[in-house]
Amino acid sequence: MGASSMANLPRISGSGWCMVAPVDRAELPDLDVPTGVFGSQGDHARLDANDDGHAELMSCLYPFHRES
Amino acid sequence: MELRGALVGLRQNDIEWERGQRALARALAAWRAEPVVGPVLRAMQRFGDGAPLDRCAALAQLFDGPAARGHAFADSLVAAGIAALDGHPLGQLPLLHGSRDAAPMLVLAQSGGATLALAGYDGTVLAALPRPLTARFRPVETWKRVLAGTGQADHVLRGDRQGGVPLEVRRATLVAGEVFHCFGPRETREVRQVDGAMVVLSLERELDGAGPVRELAREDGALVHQASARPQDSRDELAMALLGRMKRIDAVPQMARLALGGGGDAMRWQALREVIALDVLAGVELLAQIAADPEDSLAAQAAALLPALLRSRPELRGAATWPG
Repeated sequence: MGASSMANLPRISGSGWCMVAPVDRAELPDLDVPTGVFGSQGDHARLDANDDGHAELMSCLYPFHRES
Repeated sequence: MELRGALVGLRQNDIEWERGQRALARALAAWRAEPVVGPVLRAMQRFGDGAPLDRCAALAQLFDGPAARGHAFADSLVAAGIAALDGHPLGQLPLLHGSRDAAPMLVLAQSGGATLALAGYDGTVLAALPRPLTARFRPVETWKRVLAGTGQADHVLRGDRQGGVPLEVRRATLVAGEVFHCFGPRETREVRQVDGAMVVLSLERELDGAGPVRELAREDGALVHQASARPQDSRDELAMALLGRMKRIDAVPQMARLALGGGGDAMRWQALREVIALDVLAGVELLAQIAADPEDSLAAQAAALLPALLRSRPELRGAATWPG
């Protein structure tokens, strides 16, 4: 049995066995203030001036990189 | 230097490039062991583990007192890097790098939530950018030392109120040798103008529990944008969104741990939503647990969602006491 096939199985609750229909993700609210992904910013025109101390490694360099 | 022939060769066979990369990696390892570098990197480990900067002497000395130590540290990297690249001109030093045009950067060391980086500011690119409309307040503490060059920065400060009050902006002159410290939730320095080029050694460390990055409008202090402060939170959010759409119910225990753990609110809320969508009984129990903890920053939102969910799904009543 695959993991996904377990989602709609009968589940036990405090009052005994019952069928529980899944909740649609869209019914669940977002937080009051939405939060963008790391590195996103509203003033797009100034992205190039962003000097946060975060950087990435080119994937081709992974085999040669060692964290210090 | 004629590179075309070498590039054509690389398209057919990258063995030579890999050999060069291994040599560059060895050169970096040798640099990390140099007398002016090794103690800094060891101190960086302690700093990343949470030690105060003044207890990490070799690191603190880069930002305290005479600029000579900072120069010696950066010069050693430049000398080692140039010598290595001279032998392998198509290679890349295997360091994390930021590719923003106005402020390209190399990350020299990372430990925990701390980063030591070398940034170069390009005055021509900076001059072509429009004036900033916002200021970003990040949950980090930052120390910067100007190693070479001169320029101007905006030192922007925010008060306790969010919105309705313009941000305070002071113009700061940047000169070689200068050091400035910044407590990110309250202040930020944005480099606005550079005479030619400027090189800055930068140290920053995440502050615990200080929330997301808040981007406020300069003219009235209103919140314009909010972003996750930690890349790992965003990666977790993306992974959970994918696992949720794949209906991977086997991921629920790990998602529940993230919902209860020490990440940002947005990532935790996403984890909670995915748990509810995948396994509603486990989700309701999790929701009740979060709602019941007055110290939890998501308690109010969870306390609002829980009764709404129970009203719409009466069959879920009692799930909060489900033994799991």
